[in-house]
Amino acid sequence: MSDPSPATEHSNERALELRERQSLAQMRALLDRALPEEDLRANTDLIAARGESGAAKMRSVLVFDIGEERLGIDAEDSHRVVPCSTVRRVPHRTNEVFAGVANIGGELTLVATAGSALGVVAAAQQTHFVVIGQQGARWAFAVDRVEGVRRIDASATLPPPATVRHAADGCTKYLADIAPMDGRANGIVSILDSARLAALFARSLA
Amino acid sequence: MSDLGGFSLHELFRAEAETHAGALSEGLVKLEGTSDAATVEPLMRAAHSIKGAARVVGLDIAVKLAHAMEDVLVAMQKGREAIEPARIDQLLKGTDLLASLARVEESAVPAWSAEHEPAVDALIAELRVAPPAASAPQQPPAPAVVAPAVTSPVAVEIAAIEAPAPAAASPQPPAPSAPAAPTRGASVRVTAEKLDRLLQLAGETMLESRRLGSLRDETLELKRDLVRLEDELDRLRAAARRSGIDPASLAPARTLIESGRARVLSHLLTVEGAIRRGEETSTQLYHEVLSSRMRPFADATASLSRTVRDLARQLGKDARLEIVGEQVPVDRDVLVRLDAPLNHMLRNALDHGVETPDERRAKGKPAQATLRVEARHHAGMLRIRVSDDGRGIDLDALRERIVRKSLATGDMASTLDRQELLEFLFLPGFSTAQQVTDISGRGVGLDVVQSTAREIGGSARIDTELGRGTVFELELPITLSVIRALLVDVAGETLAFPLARIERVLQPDASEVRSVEGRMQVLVEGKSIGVIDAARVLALAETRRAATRENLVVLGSGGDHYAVAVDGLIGEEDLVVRALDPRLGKVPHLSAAAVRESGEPVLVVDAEDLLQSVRVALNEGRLRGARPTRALGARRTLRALVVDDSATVREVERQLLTRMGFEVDTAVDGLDGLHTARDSTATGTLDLIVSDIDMPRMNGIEFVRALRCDPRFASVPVVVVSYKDREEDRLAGLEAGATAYLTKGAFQDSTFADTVRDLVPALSCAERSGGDA
Repeated sequence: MSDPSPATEHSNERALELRERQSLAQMRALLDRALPEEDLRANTDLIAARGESGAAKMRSVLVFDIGEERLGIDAEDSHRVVPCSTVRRVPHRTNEVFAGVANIGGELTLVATAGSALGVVAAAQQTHFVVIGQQGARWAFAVDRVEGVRRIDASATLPPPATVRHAADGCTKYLADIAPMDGRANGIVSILDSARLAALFARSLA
Repeated sequence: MSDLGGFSLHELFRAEAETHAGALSEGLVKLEGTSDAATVEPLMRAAHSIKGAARVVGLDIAVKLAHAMEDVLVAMQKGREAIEPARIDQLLKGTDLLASLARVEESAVPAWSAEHEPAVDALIAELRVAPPAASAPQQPPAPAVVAPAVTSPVAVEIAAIEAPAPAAASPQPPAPSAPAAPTRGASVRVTAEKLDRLLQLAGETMLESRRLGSLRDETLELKRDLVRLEDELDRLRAAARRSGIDPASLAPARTLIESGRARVLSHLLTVEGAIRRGEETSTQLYHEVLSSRMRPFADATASLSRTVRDLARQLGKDARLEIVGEQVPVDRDVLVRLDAPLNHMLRNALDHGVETPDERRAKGKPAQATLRVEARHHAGMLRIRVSDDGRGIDLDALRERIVRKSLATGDMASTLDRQELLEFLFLPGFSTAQQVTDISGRGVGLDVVQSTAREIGGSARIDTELGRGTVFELELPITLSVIRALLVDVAGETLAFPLARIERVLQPDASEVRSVEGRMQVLVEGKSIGVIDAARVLALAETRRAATRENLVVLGSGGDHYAVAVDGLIGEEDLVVRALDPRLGKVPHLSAAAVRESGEPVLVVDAEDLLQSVRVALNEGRLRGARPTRALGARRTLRALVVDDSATVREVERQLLTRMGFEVDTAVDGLDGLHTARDSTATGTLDLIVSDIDMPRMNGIEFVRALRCDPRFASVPVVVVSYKDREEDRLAGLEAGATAYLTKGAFQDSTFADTVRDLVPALSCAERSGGDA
């Protein structure tokens, strides 16, 4: 008795289905629509401007010591900097450059001995891991001391010496004059190219 | 297209369609057995869901098919249509089509549609032909059912929406927004990587909250300082009194200290509470994430009733499937591996085990055979039994067959016991069927059961009783992500040995360890076991040092036991294992990595692989010692390496080659073969390598390819001997770098020997001069 008549059922159902279809079509249209010309232009300008404005004149570099060397990487290339933890040697794989794996923030990360890779004698006691690279291509390397993130004038950087520039495994991207905070005389820091550094580490696994 | 958490809309459709098609398939078979209209409802909902999902991605072909199927199901539920096997067949056909569409990539959909459109249309036409109405049509003659096909779907649609919500209280039509909303057991797809990442973060959270314990310790220290300060003050007061100073002048200091103590105490309580709650919550979170990897065993059995039904029909047999333990939780990684073995065991049972109904009646058995799949947890393992009540396996016939296939000599076969005989059934290419059928194929399948079980760290066995039936029993780990392990110290590194692989742990007296022919041995229960230094096998020792041999981990498989000397035992722990970084490649002797509860990284030892190396190292030592020194200028011994995972085939090949004049080394799979080949170059060159294709861990193709990359083996002749005899298999073998490709029938005649003679010219000279002598 409470059953609605078949006819009403039909029309209800039809209306319902039609509505469902319409709203789906609308949703799809909304997601697939092209970006309006003015929005596109505004976005393009915004991104382009970021590269030219005052921010570009300064850049942040992470400065650290390995052995006698004062080195750095562009701050945006460093994934994180954490205190050193246990490095587990990996049987049949650990060598001069590849040190082993460490637990860094829950991620088992490959650790390289940057000193050996760069030909620098590191201190016996190292304090921090610098982690570089994207997930899946991550590398950590231990440094003796982290000086901190320093802001430098991008226009005052120097190209690396030709010998380094042309060496197959040269990792220096540019040189920067950064006054040491502890009064040491030499202010020149080699800023390393993190991609080439990672490639250098990866070669130790081949 | 828009993107939802890493899945495209089409992928979501595929996932949904796959799930619902599975439910349909399983439910339809059940429905056919029970004819219970009450069980139709979930099927209707499944068809309806597929239709909805297909509509979202604009797959009209799936929309109309699901729609037609839903019509029939609704008619069945309302009693307007009888539940007939022929009708169920049509619905199953539709389900198959939908499932097949769900397997197609988005880009291939137009091709699929073009190919299957006629079949889909034909099926829809069949589905729309209303069969004779059910015997008791209590329903008023619904005009929609008898009306032309075009209008009927609409009428049925309403029923579908109405059915899941039989809320008699509400006189209004159900709210349009919630047709058949999924409620219980609704699931969301998450990528495995995301789940792993969640687990890592949950683990890290647990660690962090434990590290907060140091906050509590510091506060406690502060409290103690205040107590000391109070004592100091008491002394000061006594001194003041002696010096005639009013002790009351110290009262404010005392008040300060007391209020300080009270504050520290309340702070301590707060900190302790926070730490405890943090630890509890994070531990719970961790276990919850971990358990989200578990799925009910039913996930692996959903399609089985269907398989059994279809096969039994095809074979003219009558069988029903009983599944016990559907709710038993199993790691999804294990579940996905169960599909092939379960299918093969059931196929085998139906094809070879179960008799025809007439035969069964003649033997006094019920005409319908019963197949049972049972799952349960037993002693920390998942135990799966697949049994039938068929004819069982005739052991004498099996023995005959082994001899006929030249897998063993008559003498040897007659000494094999029941278990050893049954083991032959797991050999690739071995079948007890009289003829090749397309059901069980040519014995292909049962070897999958054993190799799968072994690959995931379990085992498989068969038992049978002639006339009564056959039982397969698999013992598998419940999860691949958590293992119970013994942590040991090797050269300063923490390594984990899976407990399942450890025979025992020994701390022998110095007198029990001795050197025999330059090799260390330990006496265990009167048996001498070889000892090997873990640090040396794993290449972890910085310098060659004498192992202490105070802590021995005894590993073993079958009759082989070896003791691995480690520098210290740390203890047992449950480890959540994760894959080693793929950039490391396959690291010898390691299977995985883990993070201990303390946050320390651990590497998990691949006991099987380690054992292989130990075996090779010890055997080589013995061979070197035993090899007779030859006079200068004497003919060099020819050496061959045989790689096959079947002990029988290995033995046959070893004997053949030894007879031809080779000194033969053997290896059990590609990885072992590679180790052995590399080790053997230390003592000379290899003249011939014979390898199988189907092998665990590293198959023959990968093995040959790896050999060819190594300059030491670039020109060594490699003969592949395989059961795979199709042309494409042969080409794949030769492309990988094999010199010749033979099938295992080659042992029956002189093909194998002739090929070897062709490839190793030095052999003919050796044989001739050997004959002269």
